[in-house]
Amino acid sequence: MVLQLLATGAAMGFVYCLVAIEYSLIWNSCQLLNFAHTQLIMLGAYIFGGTFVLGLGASYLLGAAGALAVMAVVSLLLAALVFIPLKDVPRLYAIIATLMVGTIITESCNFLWGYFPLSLTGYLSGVVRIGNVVLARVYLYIVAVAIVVIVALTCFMKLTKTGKAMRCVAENKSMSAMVGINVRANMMVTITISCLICALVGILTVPLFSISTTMSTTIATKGFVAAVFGGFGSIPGAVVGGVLLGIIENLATIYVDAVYKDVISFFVLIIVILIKPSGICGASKASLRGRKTSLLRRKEELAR
Amino acid sequence: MSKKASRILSVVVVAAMVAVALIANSNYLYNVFCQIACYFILCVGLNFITGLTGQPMMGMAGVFALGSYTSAILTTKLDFSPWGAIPAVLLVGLLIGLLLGYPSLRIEGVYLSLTTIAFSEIVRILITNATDLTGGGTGIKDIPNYSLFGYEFASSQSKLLLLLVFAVLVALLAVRIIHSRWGRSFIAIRDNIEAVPSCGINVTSIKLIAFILATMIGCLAGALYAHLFNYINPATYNQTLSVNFVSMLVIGGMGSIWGCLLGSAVVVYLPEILRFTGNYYDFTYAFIVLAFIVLMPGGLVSIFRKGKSKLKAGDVARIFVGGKK
Amino acid sequence: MSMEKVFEIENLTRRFGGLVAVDNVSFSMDKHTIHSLIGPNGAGKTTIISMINGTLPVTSGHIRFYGKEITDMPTHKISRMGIARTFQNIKLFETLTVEENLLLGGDCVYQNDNILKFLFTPGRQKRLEKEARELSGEVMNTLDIYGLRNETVSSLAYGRKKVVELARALMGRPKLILLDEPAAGLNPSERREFVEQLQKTFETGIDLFIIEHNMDVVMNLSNAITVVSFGKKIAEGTPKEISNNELVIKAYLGDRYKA
Repeated sequence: MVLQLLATGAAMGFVYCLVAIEYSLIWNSCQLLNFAHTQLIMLGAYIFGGTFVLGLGASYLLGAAGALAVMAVVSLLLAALVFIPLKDVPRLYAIIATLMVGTIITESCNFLWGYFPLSLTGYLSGVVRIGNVVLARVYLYIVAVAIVVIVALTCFMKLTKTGKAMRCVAENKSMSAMVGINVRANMMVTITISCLICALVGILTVPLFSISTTMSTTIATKGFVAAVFGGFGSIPGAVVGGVLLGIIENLATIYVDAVYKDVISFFVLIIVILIKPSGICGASKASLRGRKTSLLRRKEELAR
Repeated sequence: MSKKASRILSVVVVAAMVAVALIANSNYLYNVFCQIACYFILCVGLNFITGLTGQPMMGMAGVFALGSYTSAILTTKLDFSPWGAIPAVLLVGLLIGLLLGYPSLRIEGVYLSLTTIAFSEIVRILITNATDLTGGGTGIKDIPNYSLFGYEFASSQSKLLLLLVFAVLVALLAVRIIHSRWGRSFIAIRDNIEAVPSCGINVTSIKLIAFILATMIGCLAGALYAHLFNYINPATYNQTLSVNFVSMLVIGGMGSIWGCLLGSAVVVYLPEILRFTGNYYDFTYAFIVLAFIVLMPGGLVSIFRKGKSKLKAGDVARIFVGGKK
Repeated sequence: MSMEKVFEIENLTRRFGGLVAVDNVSFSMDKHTIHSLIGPNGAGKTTIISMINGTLPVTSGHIRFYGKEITDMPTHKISRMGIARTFQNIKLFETLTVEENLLLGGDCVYQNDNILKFLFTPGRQKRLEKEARELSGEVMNTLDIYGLRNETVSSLAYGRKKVVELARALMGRPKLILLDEPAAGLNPSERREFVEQLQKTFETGIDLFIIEHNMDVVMNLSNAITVVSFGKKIAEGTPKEISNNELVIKAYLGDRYKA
C-alpha cells in the first residue's frame, strides 16, 4: 500500500517537476511569473488531441510532433508580442497580463474545439505491474519523458553556447548584452523551450485528466509549489521539489481525506517558506547576496 | 488633483450616489451599484498591500470568501445578528493576515503572489467540501439582512444606502491612513525597499500592517456581500474573482482611492456593457484588460493627473517594437 | 587619555563564499570627529559600512556603538539607536515629495505610535504630524532645499537628491551618519556646497563617518583616516600622517598628496 502510494506519487511528481521547470525557465529569463502556463499546457493537449489525433487522424507520435511544432510557433508569437514587451512593465501588471493571455487562450480553445471535454480512448491506457505495485502505463511515459527532458536541458544549459548564454541572461541582462549576447533572441529561445515543455506536459497528461479547459489547473498550481519547495528558479531544485511533493501529498492521503490532497501542498508551501524560503536545493540567502556582491567587486576591479 | 478639489469631488460623487439610490427606482441598477460598493470596499483594502506597498496579493477571493462564510455561518447556524458577526469577521481577517502574511512577507514579493493564490484555492476546496458547515456546492441560503432599530434593510434600495455608508466610512479610514506616516511608509516600501530600514522603519511589520488592513477590510466586504445577496456558494469565489480584484486596481490606478472607485465601477459594469458579445465576453474582457496594461500603465486616474505618468507615443512604440526607454 | 568612542570595530570579518571582503579589521572612531575610510575600489569599504548599519550580517567580529554591542542587530533598530546612512547610488523614495522623504526619515522618532494608538487618537496624530512637518521645514531651511519641498524626488537633479538624502538622514536625530561616497557624481561647485553642508552638519554635534575617493574632500574634512586595501587595514592616523605613509601612497594615493 505504502509502496503503491510512493510509486504513483513519485510518478505524478515528475509532472510537477516538468511544470516547475518550464515555469522557472521563464522566471529566470524574463523575471516574469507566467500564469498563462496553465493554459499553454492545455493548448498543447488540445492541439495534439483535438486537431491532430481526432481531427486529422494522425498517429500519436506524429500528432505529438505536430503539436510541438505548432506550439513552437505560438510561443514565438507570444514571446514577441507579450512576454518580452512585458519585461519593462511593473511586475504586478505583467502577472495580470499573463493571466489575461491565459483567458484569451482558454476562450480560443472553447471556440476552436467546443465546450465539451475531449478524450482519446486507448491512448497510453492500461497498467503495468512491477512486483506488488500497479502503475498506469502513462506514468512510465511521463517519467521517461521527464528524465529525457531534464537530462537534455541540463546538457543544453551546460554544454551549448546558447545554453550558457541563457544562464548569463538569467544572471545579469545588461552585462550579457555587453559581452555580445543577443538578449532578446535568447529570451525568445528560453520562452520557446518553456512552452514546448508545457505542450509535452499537456500531451502526457491527457490520459489522466482528458482534454478540457480545466485539465491543468491543479498541476499548474502544484508546479508552483514544487518550484518553491525545491528552490525557486533552480532546475535540480524543481526535480527534487516535484518528486518530493508528489510523494508527500500521496502519502498524506493515508491520514486525510483524498479531497484535501491539494490542501497538503499548500501547507508544504507555507512550511517551506517559513523554514527555508530558498527551498531544499536553493542557495542560502546570504550566499546568494555574496555571489552578487563578489560579481560586482570583480566588475569594479575590471573597471579599475 | 489638489486636496481641495479632491474633497469637493468626493462630496459630489457621494451626493450623486445617494441621489441615484433615492430616485433610480430600478432594482437592476440598485444591484449593480450594490456590487460596485462591495467591490470598492474590498479594493480599498487590497490597495493597501498591492497598490501602495506594491506586494502582489493574488488571493483576495479567498479572503472575501472567508468573510462571507464566517458571517453567513454565524448568522444562519448560530443565530448571531449580522452586526454581531462583524467583529468575528474582522477577527478572521486579522488571523488570515497574521498567518498568511507573516511567512510570505518576510521574503521577496513573488512568494506572496504564490502563497496567496494557493491560499484562495485552498479556501475554495475547503468551502466546497466541508459540506456540514458550508453546505458544499449548494451554498448557504436565507442569510438574514442587516436591520437597525427594527428597520430591516431588505429592499435593494435600502441595501444600497447601507452599503454607501459602509463604503464612505471605509474610504474615510483609508484616506486617513494613506495621508499619514503609515501611508508614506507603505509607498516607501514600494519605491525603494532597501532604504526603508535605514530610516528606522521595520519593513516586515509595515508590510504586515498593510496586509492585515487588506485582509480585514476584504473580510468585511465579503460579509457585506453575503448579506447583500442573502445567498452564497463556492462558485463565486474562484481564481477569476481574485484576478478581477487586482484588475480593478490596475484599471483604476494603483494607490489611489479614486482609482479603486473607477476600477471597481468599470470591472462590475463592463460585463453589462459587453453583454452583447455573448460567448465572446471573456475573450473581449481579457483583451480590454490587456490593452489597459499595455497602453495605460498608470490606470484610469492617470487621465486626470496633470502631465506625469501620462502615456506618450514613445511608450506605445516601445511596447510594440521593444527596446529601452 | 582615551576619548569616548563613537564606535569600535573589533576583528571584523566578512566572507562572500570563498572571497574575504573584509579581513580581520579593527579600528575605532573618536567622538567629535569626522572620520574617513579610504582605499582602492573593492577594498571592502562599503561592506564595512553595511555591516555597521546592519544591512549585511557579519561573518565574525564585533561592532559596538557607544559601548553597546550592535553586531547582528536588525538595521531598523540600529538606525533608531542613532546611526543614519546615505547610499553610494542614492536611495530615495522617488514617487514621494521631498518633504515626505524627510518625514519618513523622522517617523521612527517623532511618530512612534503603533497603528491602534494612531487610529484612536486623531487629535494627537494631527499635532505630531504638524510638529514633524515643522521640523522637516527647519532641516530643509538649513540645507537650502525648502523651496523644493513639494517637488517629487524623481524630478530632481542628482546633486539635489544627494542633499535630500542627507536631510532625510538628519531627520532621525542621529548621533552618527555613515556617508558612502558623498561627493561622487557632483560637479566641483556642487561638491563645494555639499562639503560645506557636511561641515555645518558636523558643527551641530553629529559625527560623520565617510567613505570617499576624492582626496581634496577627505583631506579637508577629516580629523582621522583609516585606510583599507583588499579587505585589510593598512594604515590609520591624521590626514597628515596618512599622506606621508609610504604604504598608503603605494597602494592608493600616488605621489600627489605627499605632504
